[in-house]
Amino acid sequence: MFKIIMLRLIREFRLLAVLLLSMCLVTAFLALGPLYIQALSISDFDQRIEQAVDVTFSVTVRNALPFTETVPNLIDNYLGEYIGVQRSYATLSGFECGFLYDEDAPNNIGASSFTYSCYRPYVYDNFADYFTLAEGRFPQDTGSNRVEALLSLSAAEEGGYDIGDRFIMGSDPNQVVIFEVVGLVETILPTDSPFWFQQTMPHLTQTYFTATDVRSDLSFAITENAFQNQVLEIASNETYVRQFEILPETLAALDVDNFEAQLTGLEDELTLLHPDVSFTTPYKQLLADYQRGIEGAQGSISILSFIVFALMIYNIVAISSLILEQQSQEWSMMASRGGSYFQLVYIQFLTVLVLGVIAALVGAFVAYIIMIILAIIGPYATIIDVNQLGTIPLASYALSAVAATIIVIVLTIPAWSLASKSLQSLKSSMARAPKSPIWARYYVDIIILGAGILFIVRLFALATDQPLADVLLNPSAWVDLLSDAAFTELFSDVFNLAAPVLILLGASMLWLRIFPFFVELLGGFVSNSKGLTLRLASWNVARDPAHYAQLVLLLIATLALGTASVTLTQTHQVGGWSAARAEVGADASLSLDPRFYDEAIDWDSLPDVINATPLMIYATDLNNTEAVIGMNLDDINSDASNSELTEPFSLLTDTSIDLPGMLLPEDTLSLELDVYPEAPQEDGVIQTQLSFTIEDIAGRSTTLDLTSAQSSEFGEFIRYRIESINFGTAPYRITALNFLSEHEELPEFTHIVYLDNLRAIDASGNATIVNSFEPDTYEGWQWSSNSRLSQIVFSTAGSNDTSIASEGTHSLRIQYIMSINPVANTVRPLTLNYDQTVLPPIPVVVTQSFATAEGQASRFRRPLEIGDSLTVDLSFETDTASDALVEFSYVIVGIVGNAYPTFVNGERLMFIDYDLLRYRLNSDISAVYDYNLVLFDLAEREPSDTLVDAIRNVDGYLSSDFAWLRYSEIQRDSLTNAVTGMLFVGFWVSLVLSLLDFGFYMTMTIRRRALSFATLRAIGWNENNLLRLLLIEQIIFIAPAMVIGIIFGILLATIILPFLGLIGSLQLQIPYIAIISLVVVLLVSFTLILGLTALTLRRLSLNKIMRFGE
Amino acid sequence: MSAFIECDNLVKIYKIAELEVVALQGLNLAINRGEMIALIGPSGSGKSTLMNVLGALDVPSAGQVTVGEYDLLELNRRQQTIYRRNAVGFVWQQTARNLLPYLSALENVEMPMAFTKLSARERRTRAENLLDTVGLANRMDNRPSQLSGGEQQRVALAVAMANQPELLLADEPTGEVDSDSANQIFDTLHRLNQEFNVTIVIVTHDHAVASRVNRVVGMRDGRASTEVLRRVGTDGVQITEEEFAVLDKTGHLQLPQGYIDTLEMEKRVILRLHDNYIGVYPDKSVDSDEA
Repeated sequence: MFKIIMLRLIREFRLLAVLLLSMCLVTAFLALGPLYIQALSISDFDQRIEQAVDVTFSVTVRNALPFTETVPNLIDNYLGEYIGVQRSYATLSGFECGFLYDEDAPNNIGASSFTYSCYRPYVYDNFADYFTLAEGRFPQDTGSNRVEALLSLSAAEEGGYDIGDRFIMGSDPNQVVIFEVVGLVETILPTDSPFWFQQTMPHLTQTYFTATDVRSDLSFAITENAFQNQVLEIASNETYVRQFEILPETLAALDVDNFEAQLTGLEDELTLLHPDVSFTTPYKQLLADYQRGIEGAQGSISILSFIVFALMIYNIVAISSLILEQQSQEWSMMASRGGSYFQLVYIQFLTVLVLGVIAALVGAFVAYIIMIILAIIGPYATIIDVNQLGTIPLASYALSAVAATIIVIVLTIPAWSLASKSLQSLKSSMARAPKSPIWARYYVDIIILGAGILFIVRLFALATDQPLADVLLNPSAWVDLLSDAAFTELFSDVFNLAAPVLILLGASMLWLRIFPFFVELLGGFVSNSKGLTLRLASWNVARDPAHYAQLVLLLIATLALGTASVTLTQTHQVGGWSAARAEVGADASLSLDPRFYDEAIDWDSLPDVINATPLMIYATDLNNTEAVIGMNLDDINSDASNSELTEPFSLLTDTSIDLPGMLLPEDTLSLELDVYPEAPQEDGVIQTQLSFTIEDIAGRSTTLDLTSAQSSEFGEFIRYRIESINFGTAPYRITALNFLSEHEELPEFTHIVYLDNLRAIDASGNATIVNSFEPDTYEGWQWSSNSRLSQIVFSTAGSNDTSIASEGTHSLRIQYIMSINPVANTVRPLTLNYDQTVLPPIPVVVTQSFATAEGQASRFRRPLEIGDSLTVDLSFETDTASDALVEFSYVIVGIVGNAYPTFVNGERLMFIDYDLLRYRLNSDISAVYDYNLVLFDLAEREPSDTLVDAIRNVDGYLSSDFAWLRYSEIQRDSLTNAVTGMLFVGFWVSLVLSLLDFGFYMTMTIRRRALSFATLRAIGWNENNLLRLLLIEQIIFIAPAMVIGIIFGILLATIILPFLGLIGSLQLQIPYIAIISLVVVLLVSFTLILGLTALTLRRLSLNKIMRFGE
Repeated sequence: MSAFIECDNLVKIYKIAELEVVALQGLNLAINRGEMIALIGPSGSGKSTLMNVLGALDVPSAGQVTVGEYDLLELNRRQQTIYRRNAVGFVWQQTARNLLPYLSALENVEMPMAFTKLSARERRTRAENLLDTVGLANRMDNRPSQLSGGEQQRVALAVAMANQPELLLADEPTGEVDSDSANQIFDTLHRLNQEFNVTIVIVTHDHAVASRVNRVVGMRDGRASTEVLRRVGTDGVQITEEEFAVLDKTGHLQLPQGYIDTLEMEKRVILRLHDNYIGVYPDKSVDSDEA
């Protein structure tokens, strides 16, 4: 039997070659997954290594005891080929405190005159390996508690130290170590070298408690003997460190596991030697991130591969069925010769087994060839390097074998039914009525489809907290909802994957059921047509609906894969940029320390910047779940860099509130005030001293003295003056007038002054009277509450009676009592505020989430509405506190939706006019807070080096981010790439399989067709008529396939999209040109085959063809 | 001695859609071991159905049929396979149905033996002998496409005889060959019949074929209607040839259509028993005859 099968395989190879080719393509497809992921991994890993900062590669091993001598060799044995030079040092695990040495009182250690400071000594195996001497010499052992030490040149310069300076470690005078600087050194390695990571040796850290109370943290390098004998006498927290760097160029994606094993092996071995050893390297995090990404991709790719694989299996079964159909006569004969069912099935099994073994062996290699082609012309060719594909992974061989096994099983199964039918075909005279397949009889298609839909429904119900009906009524929202749930536990639920599989399977079966009806319907339509061609074409398709339906199904699946592939690619590219931009907020973003904000900077003038939008963003609580965003309302009109902000801020344009204080003209440079001091009521001289408290637009306030050469004169108007308001940003507001007058002799006295004509003077010397102190102009002046309680007995305004005025008829008469604080011996200042009315609630726009969350937690116990007023705390860092809070009240003037993906918490947001927010912050904390984020629109997606440099050199620069970088990362994302790549390959493999199937079908039927063509020719048809017939046949089954295939493809892409975790509300991008190209490729391919068929038919002579039909 | 093949009141009904077709309508036939007979009849007379039944390719709807020790109605699927493998050999009209195109003549003859437990050597020896018997010892390594139509049919005979069946069923074995080849094929059939004592049933619609066998059964409307028996002398020269109508066990007799047409018989006839014959008269003519 085996011999016969082998002979058949060899002698009938041309027939089976089609099947073998198909099988190889399918095994290759499944084997491609691991290869694709590997290629992407290599690319991803290389990128991570390339982008990692140097410190990522440092490895630090710490132990509380000195390392044994074998440790360096151990490290070399495990990691020798991967690492650079090993370095080691010993130090204390923290700073030990003591004092700066006092030359004048060396024995009074710890006395209050000593300056408190902290020190940390380091011991290196050889000073010359690490330092070059700038001055002095390397330390030597002294044998006493005076320990010779090296200090870094930078620390010395910063702290003003020099050779010979001494520092005391320890507070007990009987137990101290005195470090004496004998040399100033520069580090051989740059101080930002990973080797120096977390070491303070080269640096000086100064902590200012007050202007004069400063703690200096210093590190020294000392000899080992001094460390062991002197330092450890008074400190016991020693730590021994070995450090080395992993050489990035030795790391490769394919070697990751091996390297990880070596690293773990070393760690285990070191732990055996030193149980308390700590082994740290940031590389582990890089590795974990990388592995997580790859693992995430592997699972999804496997599932997707198997779904596409299932479609291909269907394809291959169709081809195999054709072959079996052709063999039916052969099988009949064997059956009549006594071949049992089992023997017939065995023949098929052995045949496909041999082919399967070949396909399994070849699959991985064909996959490799496909991978090379993909790396050259695939959708992500730019990120896969054809020279960096790696060797074929074992998984590819395994999957190729799995695919082959499945194929062998699947192709053996139809042999059972053929074996049972084989005898029937011998009974030539009678035929049994065709039975519809079991699935059709029992509505398996409908059941499967229903089950698939139920799974989808379940997925939605789980993915959304909303009632299902709401989701169904608003289908456009479901991608968003699923996107939000992507990568949650929900998506690891295997049942969800059943949904697309069941739906695809059910839909396919349903199609097979519908197609004959469809053709019948078409036949009905064309039965009345005059021409014969259309009717004949419809009849040709209708008489073999089963196979035509299969062809159509394959075409649908092929087109669906292609459509899904190009759609996802497009969505990924557009969505990638959109997601990158949403993450960054704009093309580029710059985080600033608001305390160092340079108001003079013109952001738009930075290179390549088209538009810039500075923002203030502060969290309203420490949990960072809510944020307040401040933007200059003028920026809305100048096309804000982040379009999300346009809507909320537009609602604020018509709302404004006046800030407290007396507003000065914007061009004010100096101020003048006419002051009429009355003579003292007691003997002696009064120095009339005044100052203004002035606030700038940002809410920063300062007090500027009003000066006059005649401050001790009285009985006349004297001109007091502030020469220059040299702070902050105009316009300014005067918020208070302060009295600081002093009496020559008395600690407490009463004094009366008249104020008149407060003038603002611009740079050209032009004066504007801002307060004439005529009636109705001085109502805003009020004593501050503390002044009234402690000092003031009387205050009044001027009246006609006084008739004292430098100009006009009135002035402001003020009687005040000054006193001296006896403890501090300083004047208690009095403050006359101007317009200190409480700031009204600030108009804000909030998001729906904010309104709901804050409203429910408030006294309202309901979502906030327009017009509601509440208070909120702003949280931020100040120089002295990391969690300062500023409370302010607000009134809601607008409520907007929740779609603000750019901003960290996305939903609970409050939008405020920048001027008001800045004012409110700064006026409360007396500091300078300004913009802390700038968003940029750039001329090109990729930022230029000059822009990057310019941004980095901005005052207060904290960090910057570029959408381009994030976009590059997204483009390299393994999961998305692999999914679209596999769909892309799936399309092409499917196309080839469909063409093979179609071509094979044509070959099979050529005899029958040839006869009918010949008959048609015999009754007078010409070649053009025949071609027309073929064309109409094509249209009949290709046209619906095109439409359904594209719809299926888009649906498939929609189902897959959420799994890719593309951020935000991005909808599917449908690339019409690409889809049309796919359709054209399909049409051309199928036309080519039909054309070839036509050509073959034309070559056959009429006589010859007619003989075929005998 | 009971017959080798016995068909008793055999009925076969096919159902196509809602339509029932009665292919065999109570056929009775007995064939002795070693006989070589021809089944002859027009299309639709039921001869191919009878072949299918005898070859265990089909199961009759009613009646009885035995071939040697096999009761074909009682065979299960496995026994049917064993029956086809060991007890019956087929030769079809189309050579494509007899031979695998990718195997040589020798390999084709070996093929049915591959379904049995014969050793490779035994298979080879037996196949060579069979090809020798059919006169194709020199064409063993040729594939069907390299053989003439007659040669292909003779290889097919060897294939059919591969497992030494007791019954050989040939469906129009000479239908696609010229008369010389047809003669060779019949010679081979005779040789096989004599050499292996194999019972041979040949289905044909060609009356010329009938002259080459000793017994010809004519079939009409699913029944055996006539039989022609030919006696041959010891020198091989035909002595007599006589045509009989078949009388089955229940006494049914088919009148030849020509007789019926000539006498315009319809629906009913009148039978009269005479001394040594039975007279069959048209319904209306009896009275006048008698008169």
